[in-house]
Amino acid sequence: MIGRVSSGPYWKLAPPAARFGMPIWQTLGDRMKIIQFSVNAHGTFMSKEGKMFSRRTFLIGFFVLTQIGLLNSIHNIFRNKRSGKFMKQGWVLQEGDI
Amino acid sequence: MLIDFNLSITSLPKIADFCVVGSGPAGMTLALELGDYGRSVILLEGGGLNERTDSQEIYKGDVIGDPYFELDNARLRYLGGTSGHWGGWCLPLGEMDFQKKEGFEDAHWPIEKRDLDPFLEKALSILDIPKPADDSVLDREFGIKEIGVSISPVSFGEKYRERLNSSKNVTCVTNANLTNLKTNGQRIMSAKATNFAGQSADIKAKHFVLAMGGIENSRMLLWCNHQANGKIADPRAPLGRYWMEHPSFRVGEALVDLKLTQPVQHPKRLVALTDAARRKLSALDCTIILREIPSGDSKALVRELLCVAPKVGAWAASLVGQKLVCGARLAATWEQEPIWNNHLKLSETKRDRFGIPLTELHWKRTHRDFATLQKSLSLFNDYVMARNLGRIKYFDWVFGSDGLPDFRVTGDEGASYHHMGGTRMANSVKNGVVDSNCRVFGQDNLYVAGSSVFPSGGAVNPTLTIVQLSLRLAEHLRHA
Repeated sequence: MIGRVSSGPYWKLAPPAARFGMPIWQTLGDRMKIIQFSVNAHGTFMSKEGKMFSRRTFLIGFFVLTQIGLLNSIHNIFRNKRSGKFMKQGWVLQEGDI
Repeated sequence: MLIDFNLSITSLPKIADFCVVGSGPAGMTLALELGDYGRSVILLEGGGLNERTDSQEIYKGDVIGDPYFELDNARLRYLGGTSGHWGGWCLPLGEMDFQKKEGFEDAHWPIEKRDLDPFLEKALSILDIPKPADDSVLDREFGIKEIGVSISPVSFGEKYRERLNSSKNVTCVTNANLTNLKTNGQRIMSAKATNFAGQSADIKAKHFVLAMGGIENSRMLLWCNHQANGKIADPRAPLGRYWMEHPSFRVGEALVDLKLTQPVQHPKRLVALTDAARRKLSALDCTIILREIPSGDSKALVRELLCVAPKVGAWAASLVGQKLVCGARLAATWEQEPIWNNHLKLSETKRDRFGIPLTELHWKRTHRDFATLQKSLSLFNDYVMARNLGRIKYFDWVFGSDGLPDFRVTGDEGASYHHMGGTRMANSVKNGVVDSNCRVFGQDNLYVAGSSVFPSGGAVNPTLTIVQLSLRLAEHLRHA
């Protein structure tokens, strides 16, 4: 039997500090506690404190995090392209220099 | 009057209004100024009239952390102190250097620039220099300014030796090493001076001022406090902590418009970020130094750029031919964030000839110090490229992730021989060792002069500020 899941609003997963605007790195320790889970024999995600999370919650969270990382990478690439600057053998150059 | 304590310990006056320890720029300025006010001063100098090995050895010590100079090479121990071999660069601290800076909670002073401004003119005359040119903004949009510098020729020992000799109020005693301070818990009662033969005398004064330099002030306060069972310094005070230097490295080369390398009054062009740009970038102060290189080296740089980037290389080659662009070396000196972990302590194993523990300096540059350099150089490069003033070649480590290189490998100075902090100035004893008048918290008549009171160091050479602070202290003490 699959464990019963209470899937409340996503922000309930965040530690209290994160909800009050603290920098993410200060809440990382708390977050780590939440995502340290294991899968029991019934396929239920169990946190260290014994709380249960659904696969759906996990997959949504995982998807959101990967998308944030992807967007960040794309943003950096485009930011560098927009500035048109690059380094070659130590020289800081821009488009049209070569 | 000048007295050699090695030759006679009986001719030493045993009482005066002030006992100033150390005859470098801080102590000499203070002693002569107080003497001019008609107050009697005993000026103790640990060394002699010239450099000597037995005196210099007392400055030995260990450095733990990042590579640094040998501590006995980084300063001089004789009349005039380290001004005997300084470069003479004089620049005043800027307004923002004194103010609170977001993200750097300990990098501010309890006083403002305007508190030191009244003493600037006199400090300039003591250092025999004209007023450095005011900062001029080169580009407001990017936040780049040029800063002025004056070069002092003054060696305090040479310039003021005769004046000390003929002074009626100031008695300068050479070879008189401070070895202890006696306190009743609230006031310093006497200072013990010892010569190189081991003979000692107690000196009584109404007020005592330690002006022994950015390392010795902390060492002697730590030692005297230890001897007095902690009755001199408040245990809450960060004595020896928040020690700072000015990291200094060559950072690259450039082919730039001549107007960027030709300053009005100095062979090097000094540029820095404006206060607004520093706030925006959340960076501390950084001085970028451009120095024109010989035309042969410039041509070699052009050839290199032609290989790397033919179009812009051709542009540079044509302008070098017309003498509109030249090659320049880039160096940077920048502000180190004052942090608790960078500190001076007494060695547990090594002692000097007087039985006083030698210095142990714990010093590291942090990634935040490195970020100040990277942010400043990045903005400077943006300015140069956007205004079509040339192209810059930075060394690989500058924008790398490995941090600063070992200066012993790169051949750089690595730091600037500027010793700051350790007895920092603050409004409260939790944050500092001395108050805004340089008085040691907890002692009614003990003061500290010199760069050890700097709570933050900016990115400019400290001597002009040291002299200004000494004049300010003299003004405060003249009525004491």
